[in-house]
Amino acid sequence: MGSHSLPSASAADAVAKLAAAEALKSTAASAASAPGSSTGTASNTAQGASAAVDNGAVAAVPSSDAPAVVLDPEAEAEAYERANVHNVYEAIAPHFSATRYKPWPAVAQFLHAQQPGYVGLDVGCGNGKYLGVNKNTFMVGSDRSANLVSHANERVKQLQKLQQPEAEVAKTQTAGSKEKKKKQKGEVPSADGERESEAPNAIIGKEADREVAVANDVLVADGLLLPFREGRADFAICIAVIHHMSTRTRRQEAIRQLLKCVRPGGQVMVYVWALEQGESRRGWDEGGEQDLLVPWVLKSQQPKPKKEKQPKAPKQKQKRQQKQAQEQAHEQADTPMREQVQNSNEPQEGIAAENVGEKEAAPTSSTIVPSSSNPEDTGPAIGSGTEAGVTEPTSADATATATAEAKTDTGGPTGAAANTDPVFQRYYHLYRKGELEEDVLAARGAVVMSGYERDNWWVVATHAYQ
Amino acid sequence: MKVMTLNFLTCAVKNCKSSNDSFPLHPKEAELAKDDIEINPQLLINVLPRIDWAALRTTSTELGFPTLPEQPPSPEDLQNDEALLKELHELLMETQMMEGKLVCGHCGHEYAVKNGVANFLLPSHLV
Repeated sequence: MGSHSLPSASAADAVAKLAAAEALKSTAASAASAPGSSTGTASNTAQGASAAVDNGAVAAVPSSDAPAVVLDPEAEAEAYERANVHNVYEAIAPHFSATRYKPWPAVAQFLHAQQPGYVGLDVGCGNGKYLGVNKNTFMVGSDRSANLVSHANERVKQLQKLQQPEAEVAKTQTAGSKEKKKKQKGEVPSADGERESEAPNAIIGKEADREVAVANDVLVADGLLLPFREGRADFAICIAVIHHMSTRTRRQEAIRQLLKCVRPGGQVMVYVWALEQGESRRGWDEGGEQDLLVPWVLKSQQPKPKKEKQPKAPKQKQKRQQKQAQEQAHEQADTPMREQVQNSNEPQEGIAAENVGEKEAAPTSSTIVPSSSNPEDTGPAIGSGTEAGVTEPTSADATATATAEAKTDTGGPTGAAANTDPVFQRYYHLYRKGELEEDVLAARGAVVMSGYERDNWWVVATHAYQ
Repeated sequence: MKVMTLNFLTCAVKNCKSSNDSFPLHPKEAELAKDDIEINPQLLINVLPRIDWAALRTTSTELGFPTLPEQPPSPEDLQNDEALLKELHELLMETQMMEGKLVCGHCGHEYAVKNGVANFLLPSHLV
């Protein structure tokens, strides 16, 4: 719909305006912003756990007036999440991003139900896979991980290019890959029409099959300190995010913040991992431990590069080498962390299972380390048997080396698993049935609808009438 | 960072949210670029009522564009005036702030914009 860039008078005007703006710009950061200092990639991964600090913005523990050991629960929770969630995603961003491009059906349905002109937020947008679903909405994605946001930003640019003729090329390239893949993995949810492909431009190809939204933007922000004007968005989604928050208070606060962002009557969709996963191979189910460290195996033995270029690989490679050297002697110098995808142990589940949503590379139950205590409302989970941590205590966490931090700092990978690929541990709170609805009510929201979709609970919430 | 997005952003500092000075954020040392994006009249016409026009005028002026009219165009205006529609599209959707800072008028904190992405993570003393 609409037209391609029309050669109109106003286009010329715009150029003139931009030229004027150019003239205004002053000394400009460009000179100072060497590749390494840009939105994240390189600097953030250079030091594992200190990534957040490099990024200039830790919601950190007060260093001057608080003894390191006497942390208040909130600061402790933040520090814990920094080590066990934020830094992990910074480090695994390219791998993670390469495995995430299938929208969950319930989410896609929610997005398609939004009206033309609606402005939406995607808090915890990751690589931005939900940007571009509904072409008549404008969506702003945010994520705590600058590395993931840079992937999301690339995706936004890709989507914008789909209107150009090249999109046709991508379309033909991926046509026909669908059936083959589905047969291979045999585990695809029937409800979704997504496809997968190992073609480098699978993302583009998938989108090219349907109308594509090009009006998107992304930014870096903390889910509990959002920069969005209150009550202005028409809707918001928060998919596979709040299960990474380590106290119930924080999870409820996250929902509260989402509700604050939307106008009266605006809807918020929240999607979290379920405890009840009887159908999955992870072995979690009702009555089990809800607070876990879940491994992400970073595959470095990569036969061929995948989509999602990681433009600032050099520093990552450096870091990778440094870390892997700690655990394995036979590091391969030219295999940075990027773009692995395949799980060599379970080939059919590598890409397949990965892309069905919030799935892990190799979350076999043997490598899952449950936390020792129930941290509900009392602070972060302290992983008892977590061998995970040990690597790379960093300056970032020096001020927060409380016991939890010290024991469970998983900002760096470990070789704990029975293979040589680095394993990152991410904290998860698995939601039991009904818990998400409880959290919505606690956040002064009302449940519009809720459901279960393939190992996840979801809810659509709105403001409770006062 | 699109101009459109700026219309929905404020300072991430909690105490600033209630202040009128925290919106809109003020671009500083802004380097702009223009993306080529397909125009979507249906989206634009429907999004117009969601725009804070006064703030958009401020942003537009601060970015060095000619002053916008005091009142926003009506949906009819947009429907009947392709040039106007395109102009709005260029301002809201195509104009990108690639580098620079966004400054809160209340607390003065500056958020960096790099490679077209703004970073709203706060240093610990502002949390």
